[in-house]
Amino acid sequence: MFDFLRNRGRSEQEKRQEALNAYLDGELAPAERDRFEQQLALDSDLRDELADIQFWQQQMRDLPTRRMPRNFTLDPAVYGHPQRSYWESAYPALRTATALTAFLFIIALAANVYMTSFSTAAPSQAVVAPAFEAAPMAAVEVEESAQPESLDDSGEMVAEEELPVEESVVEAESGAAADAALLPETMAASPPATPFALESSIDKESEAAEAPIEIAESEKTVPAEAAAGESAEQPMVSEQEGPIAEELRQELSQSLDIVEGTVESPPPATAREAIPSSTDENENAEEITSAEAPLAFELPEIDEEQSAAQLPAPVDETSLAANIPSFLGLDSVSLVLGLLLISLIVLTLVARGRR
Amino acid sequence: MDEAALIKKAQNGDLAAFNRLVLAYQEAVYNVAYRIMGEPQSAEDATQEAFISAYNALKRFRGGSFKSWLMRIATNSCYDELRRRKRRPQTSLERITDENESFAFLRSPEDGPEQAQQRFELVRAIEDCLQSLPDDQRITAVLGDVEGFNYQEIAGMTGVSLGTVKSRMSRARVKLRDCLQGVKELLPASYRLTTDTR
Repeated sequence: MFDFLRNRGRSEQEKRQEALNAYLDGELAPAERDRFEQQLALDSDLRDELADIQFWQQQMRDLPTRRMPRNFTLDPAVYGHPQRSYWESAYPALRTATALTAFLFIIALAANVYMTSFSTAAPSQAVVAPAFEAAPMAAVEVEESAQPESLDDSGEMVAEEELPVEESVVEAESGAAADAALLPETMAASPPATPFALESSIDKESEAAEAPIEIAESEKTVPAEAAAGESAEQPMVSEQEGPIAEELRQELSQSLDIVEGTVESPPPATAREAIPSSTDENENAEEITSAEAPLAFELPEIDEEQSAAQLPAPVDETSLAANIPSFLGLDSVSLVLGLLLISLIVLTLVARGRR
Repeated sequence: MDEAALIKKAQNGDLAAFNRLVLAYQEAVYNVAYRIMGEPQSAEDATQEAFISAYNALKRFRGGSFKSWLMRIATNSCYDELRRRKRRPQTSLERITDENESFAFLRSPEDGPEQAQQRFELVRAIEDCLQSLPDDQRITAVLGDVEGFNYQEIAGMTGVSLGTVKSRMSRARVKLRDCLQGVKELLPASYRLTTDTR
């Protein structure tokens, strides 16, 4: 029990000693100093204690200065050429490199933004045009099928007998009209690329997509030609061929004319297998027999999803930014410069802190 | 040339300018090291290490009291030397040798032989009592009572809070007072009166 009291007393004693020393060193707050001085005036023991501390503090301050055994100046032979640290030496160069890289990055970024904004307008126009063309074509087909009586004999035959075909054609076009319609346009824009793209990837499904387009395009010209009574370009057909095959052949030859006018290189081999060579229409027309024509022009089932998936995406050569791999909207040069700039900033800050 | 100019030149690599700063502060640094270490060889090593460290770290000095900055380096150097000493304990022979050689400085022209002896005994007692303190309390007492730094400066040099400095100072003085009480009683009344009236 008394130990507990003694401990309590020591704690208070320690507090008292701390206050005494702080008062002696002038470290008490004004209010605390006033309070302590009042206590000092009343407590003689406190005054004696203060006097003791002051005495020894003075003795400590009066301790004589010790003589040094030697001088502690540094030897110039050892310390005369201060060795700069690596970071100290590198800091000016890092600072200059950071400034230069920042300047180049800004230039590259500005150029990237300019090129991107310049090129986005052209592709949008090219994409929109074929879509608009496909829509009227589909609308024309619907009108023609709804009003067959407005056409003449050949037109009626075309309209009536092609109804079953048109249904499949419209179905195909509804799914792949826009993409398929782009083919002639893209072929016109990039002739060298299109044949190679078609040759390896386009199979019968894509050919079927082409055929409906050609048929749709030819339908636009057929009524006019039928009205004009032109039949010079009609290939020779065998009397044994059905009317559907005959009409298909006519339209195919007409569409081949259109394709020839837009494509500089010959069509791919796979296309040639089904479509007769466009180099010489007359020869192709003569070669077509009744037995072969239906097979050549047989329309396979069109898988819209596959055709849409296999058709190459339209490439706009005018947009250089589209050909350059981009990340977060930055071209490769800007990306490299940006990463380099970040690295240099970090190194410069480290060198500045360590020099 | 003033101190700021010398520091500036030294920071630019001028060793001669730095050595002029060494000459100005080496005595104070050595005495602090001596009071902390308690013997001359360790004090010499700690002092040399302190000035070498100061030269290497001079570029990080951003202004303020150069003496306080230097003393902080000296204190850290003494801490390192104390830790080294604990790993290899030293005998007191060196201190005895030092006593035979260097107490001539204690003599004052006015002092007679008896007063010189009393002074010698007092200084010896104070130094012994200082060495009996724990390292932290001894360093605080030397910086505060011997060198005259205030609590804030001591806190900066030792890297502790103001409250810790107050606590260490209070405990060090209490222990010193208790340690020196017997010596005080042996001192002649005239000596005590003389010192009390200063």
